[in-house]
Amino acid sequence: MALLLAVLILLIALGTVAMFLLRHWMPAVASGSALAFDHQFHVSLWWMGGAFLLSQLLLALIVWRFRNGKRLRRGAVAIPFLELGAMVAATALYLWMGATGGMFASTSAPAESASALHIEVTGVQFAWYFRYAGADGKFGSIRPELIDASVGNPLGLDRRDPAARDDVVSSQLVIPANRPVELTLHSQDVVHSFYIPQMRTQMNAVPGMTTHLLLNVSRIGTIEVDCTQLCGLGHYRMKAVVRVLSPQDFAAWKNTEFAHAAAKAE
Amino acid sequence: MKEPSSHHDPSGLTAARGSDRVVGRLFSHDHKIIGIEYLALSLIAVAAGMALSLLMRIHIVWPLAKLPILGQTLPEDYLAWVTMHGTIMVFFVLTTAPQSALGNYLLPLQIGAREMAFPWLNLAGFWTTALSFLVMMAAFFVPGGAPISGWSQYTPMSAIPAPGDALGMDLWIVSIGIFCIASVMGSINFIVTPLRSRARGMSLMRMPLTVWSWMVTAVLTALSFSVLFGAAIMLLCDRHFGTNFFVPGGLVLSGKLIDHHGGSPLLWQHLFWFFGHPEVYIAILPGMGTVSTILSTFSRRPVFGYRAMVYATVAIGFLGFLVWGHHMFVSGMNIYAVDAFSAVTLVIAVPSSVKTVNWLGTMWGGRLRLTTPMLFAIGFVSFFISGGVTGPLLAEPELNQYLHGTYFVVSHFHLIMAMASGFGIFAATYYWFPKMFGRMMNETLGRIHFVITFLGAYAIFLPMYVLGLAAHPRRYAQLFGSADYLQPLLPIQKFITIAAFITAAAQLIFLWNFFWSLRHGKTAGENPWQATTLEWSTASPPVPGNFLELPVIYRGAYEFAPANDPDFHPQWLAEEAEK
Repeated sequence: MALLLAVLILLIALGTVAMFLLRHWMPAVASGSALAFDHQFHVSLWWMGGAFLLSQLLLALIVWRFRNGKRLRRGAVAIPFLELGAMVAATALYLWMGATGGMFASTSAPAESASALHIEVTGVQFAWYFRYAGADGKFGSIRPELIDASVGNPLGLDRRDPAARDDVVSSQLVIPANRPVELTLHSQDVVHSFYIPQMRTQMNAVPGMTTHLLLNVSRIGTIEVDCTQLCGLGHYRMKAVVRVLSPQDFAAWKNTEFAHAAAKAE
Repeated sequence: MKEPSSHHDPSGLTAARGSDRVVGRLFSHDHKIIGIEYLALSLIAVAAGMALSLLMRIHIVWPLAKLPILGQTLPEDYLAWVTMHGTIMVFFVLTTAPQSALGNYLLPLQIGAREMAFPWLNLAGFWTTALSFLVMMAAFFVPGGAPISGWSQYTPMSAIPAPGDALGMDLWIVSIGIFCIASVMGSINFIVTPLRSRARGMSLMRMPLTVWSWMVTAVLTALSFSVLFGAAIMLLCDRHFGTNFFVPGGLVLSGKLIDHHGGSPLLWQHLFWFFGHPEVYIAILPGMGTVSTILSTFSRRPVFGYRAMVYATVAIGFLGFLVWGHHMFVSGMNIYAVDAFSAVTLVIAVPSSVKTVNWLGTMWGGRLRLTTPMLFAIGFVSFFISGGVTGPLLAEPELNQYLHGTYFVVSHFHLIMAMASGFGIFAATYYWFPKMFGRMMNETLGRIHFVITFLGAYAIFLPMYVLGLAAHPRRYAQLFGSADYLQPLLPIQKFITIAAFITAAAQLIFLWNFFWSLRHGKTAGENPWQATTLEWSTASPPVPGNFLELPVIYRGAYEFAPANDPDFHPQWLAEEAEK
């Protein structure tokens, strides 16, 4: 039994490491901050993976080595030095991980939102809507009682407000590459979470509250978005796409859409 | 030791004759009977919880399958199973089995008391828990079915009556409210009894680590369930009595404007996780105490660093109250609060690491006896490591932004809270079964059960780590219809489903062993494992009143000396420890 158990633990430990190394499991990286995430994740994973492997191998070794009591130790029932050492080492490692892993990120929170493109994201069972301020650069007012997707007003824009008339509502998040984009997140009904795996980030969209997410995407292309907060029976299919365009393409898209909205507003 | 002649039936379960005796036993305030009743309740609950998990596993990979009786099932059915699986497992298994069942049975025996401090309160606690369970199960059978908003019941989804969260949701709230009352009733005994009713010579630092764990767990229970009780009442009022705790203004649900204003969804999250995180430790601390005891007994070595273990238990209990916000890193909570919760979360990993080192230290240099309880205790340590190492990763706010709400988290908390705790319960059951029923469980079946469950559990949960890395969100009813990048992960999900079925089937071996051994197991005698703690000084099962005469305690709980003969020195014997 000792041999079997030791081998089982050994196989599980090595198998786990192999599984993590088998392939690059995470989706392709689409932004600089995602690259930074991958670096931080891999450093942390190496440390904790090392701790995992070491402890499991030690466990297997102990099961095998002390199986028949031939290596009895009369000795210590407590080694204060070992306990203290383990404590200090663990504390140092964990706090270092925390410190490098964004524990103090709030003190260096990016203040670059002045030049950022502002887009409003609204979560609704079971879709995401994206609102652009339009030509006037102002988001118009919203009245919940006007919400009605069947008449083309899923966000409840108050068309009597001039600032609202030229707002552009899209079911795709279209953004320019290499420019900071600040998303303001809302929800109409329940808590959703706006999850962009390729950017390694997410933020809850909470009713009655505004949350923020700052993006800066470096790669042109299409990126998938999920909902990661249980929001009802359609939770699994609540998805969206981000289309990342070159600055020129984005300007062209924006001009068309904004002109279209302005024409409708007349 | 000879059995007393009055105990023909060592289990005592069939000794009752006539309906009076049966009723008398059911409503006995004897802590041992109450403990076994809790154990039976959690056994029923774990069967239900496991059945739900199998249904979930089927729906994820074969959403169109027609099931017997249930027929074609829908995504909302899946969500109801998710909700009820989590609820049943957390409340009626992981809270009930290690604390209420084992703790009730063993705590008085281990400190040399004849009863719990408040036996009638204890009896009321069990029947209140049973009532809570009945109300919870009733949620399946009312119109609209069981609630679908997950065991954490995030508001405003759970706060507004809707098709998925109809009468079943109300029953859920009422059941949890009743459970809170029951838990607080139970916890008072676990705090007062070890402080007031210890036998002569049983100083606090001679108490078994199990007793320490139950006591600290009870403090967590009393404080955290009180808060959950308040939150449940508030939620019920929001749903039916026009209050506005959790629902903000201007909500539009299914095209209808909701008549609420001014509430905060985050308030619910704070209240829920203020309970929810201590709950994790409520589930695991008793297992830690059990495993320390079992590793020591079957290594024939004292627990390595007993004092450090006691301090670590208390530290985990205290810090457990300060980390709830790590469930809310992406909730929109204040970013400075994120920093604080991250720091405390990383600090709480330290006493857990100390415990792991001490478990390895306990075995090191011992004479290992790989009995079934020992195998499960070693399995506990292995799961605790595998689930624990990802804790500090998730505690980094930056990494959490990616991993939150994915299978990475599912794997993390199942390995620790479900598998490690579950193996703690199995280890305890195999270990104390002889004391409870006077007979041994079958070792061969126990070993087979261990090997399949150990491998099976890893086969289920380790692949979930890489699903999480591949950004697979949790609580998705099916892959079909969800994002494109998730589709290639289907084979891994299928593998997990098959592993889940094999692992679940292996539990039948345990059930068979349990019930077969009740009647046909080898007679155990008083101290079959040659253990040192006080429950092994009395008959198996213990006489009414536990001890013929109250014992006097002469030494610490784990005085083994593997090189000597005999290699153990029980707490109740006066002879010198070293010859």
